Amino acid sequence: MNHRILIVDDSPLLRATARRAVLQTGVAPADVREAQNGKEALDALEREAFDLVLLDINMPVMDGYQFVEQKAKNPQLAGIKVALVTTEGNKKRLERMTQLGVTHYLRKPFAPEELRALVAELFGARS
Amino acid sequence: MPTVTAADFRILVARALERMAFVVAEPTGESAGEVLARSRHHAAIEITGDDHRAWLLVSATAGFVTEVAAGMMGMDPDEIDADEHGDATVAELANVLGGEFVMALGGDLAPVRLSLPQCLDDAAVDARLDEIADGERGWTVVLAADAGSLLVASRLH
Amino acid sequence: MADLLQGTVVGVADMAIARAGQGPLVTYALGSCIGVSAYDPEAKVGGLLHFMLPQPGEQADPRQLKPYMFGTTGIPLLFRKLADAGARKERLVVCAAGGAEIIDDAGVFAIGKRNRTILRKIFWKDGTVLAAEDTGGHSARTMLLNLANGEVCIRSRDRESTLWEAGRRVVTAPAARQP
Repeated sequence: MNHRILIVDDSPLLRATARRAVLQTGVAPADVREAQNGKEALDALEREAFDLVLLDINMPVMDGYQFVEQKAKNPQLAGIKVALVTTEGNKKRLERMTQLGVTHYLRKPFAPEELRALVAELFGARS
Repeated sequence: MPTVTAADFRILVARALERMAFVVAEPTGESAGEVLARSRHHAAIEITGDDHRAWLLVSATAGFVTEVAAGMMGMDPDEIDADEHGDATVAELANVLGGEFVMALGGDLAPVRLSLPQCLDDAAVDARLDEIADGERGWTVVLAADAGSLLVASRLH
Repeated sequence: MADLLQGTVVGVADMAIARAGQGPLVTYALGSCIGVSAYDPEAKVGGLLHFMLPQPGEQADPRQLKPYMFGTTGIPLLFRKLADAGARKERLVVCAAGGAEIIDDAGVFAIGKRNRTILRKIFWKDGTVLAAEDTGGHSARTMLLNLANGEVCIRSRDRESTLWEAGRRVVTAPAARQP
């Protein structure tokens, strides 16, 4: 079964970097989608099936916190893993994210190969 | 609140560039003014805490932007159009460096927030830099990589 | 470390390819230099590169430069020569050692750091996943590749360690961090 990944970040540069990392783990281009903010991300989750969301926090329209809170209210989305890829380092705010089901975290500035490794590990892949 | 020295600030910026974009950037003695005369892309981010406010500004030459974008996206520099990627690159640099600066100020424990990065024009950049006078709580670092130069400045209110 | 009776020493700014039965490949004096090993466990062929500097200078004459002196030229050439010898890139187990911070004769630091950065950059661009690495620090290293089974050993400061052993799954990530 294909792994489907949603990349959520307002930076086109970051989305391109994350896309490269994901594709290098063997995910097909057709199984990678992008969103520029939390609202677009929620819309994407309603339209299509995903296994993993790579999520920035600091975004316009709807930020990453609001996205995670909204996602947590929908039991149908419970199986979708969320990995934060963010500048956020505040322990209390991150703890709240963990309570809402976020399981992985990579703080910016991250080494691109680390993001690749994180995605590969999440899907048990040999890169 | 922890102290951030000029050397801390320079190391924070250099480490972030190396980690996220494989860019090795070092001080060359160029002044902020010299870089500003050549830089084409600028962005700033606001930092807000309970007791303090700060801003952090990034200003980069076309060559520097190209090197960062190429590094992150795993491309050759000649595949990168600086005009196409310039604003996004300095905006993300402001975002990331702002985040690192927040952590250096104790942001893992304090309720400090980053704004969204904003791109600036030349006049807005000059105005910000005029705010940093000698002896103020300000930091300025100028670094050069293979292909271009970068100015990062910050002021704590 | 395995007996070097039949092995090949890879010198500074050099590279060698060998097969199972031809004895190990070893390189010494990896200070700020970086050793890159690559082994195809099915074809049982491997190579070892010892590069000194990240990239040639802009003025360098391509006809004059020693390609194995630099990471940017040596690493792609290592992979190409391995492919010519029957290795498949997707099967290669790639390891790296060296890149220490050592003051050279001119008192200049940071070549080790620059070499580590170029290694990361090249592998990000070409999609190579490092199976294991032993880089940084302040001590010189010796790196040995056993062509019979792909085992990679490192010696540093009179301590030997196995960087990679046959049968180990390529680990692509450290344990992912919790928020």
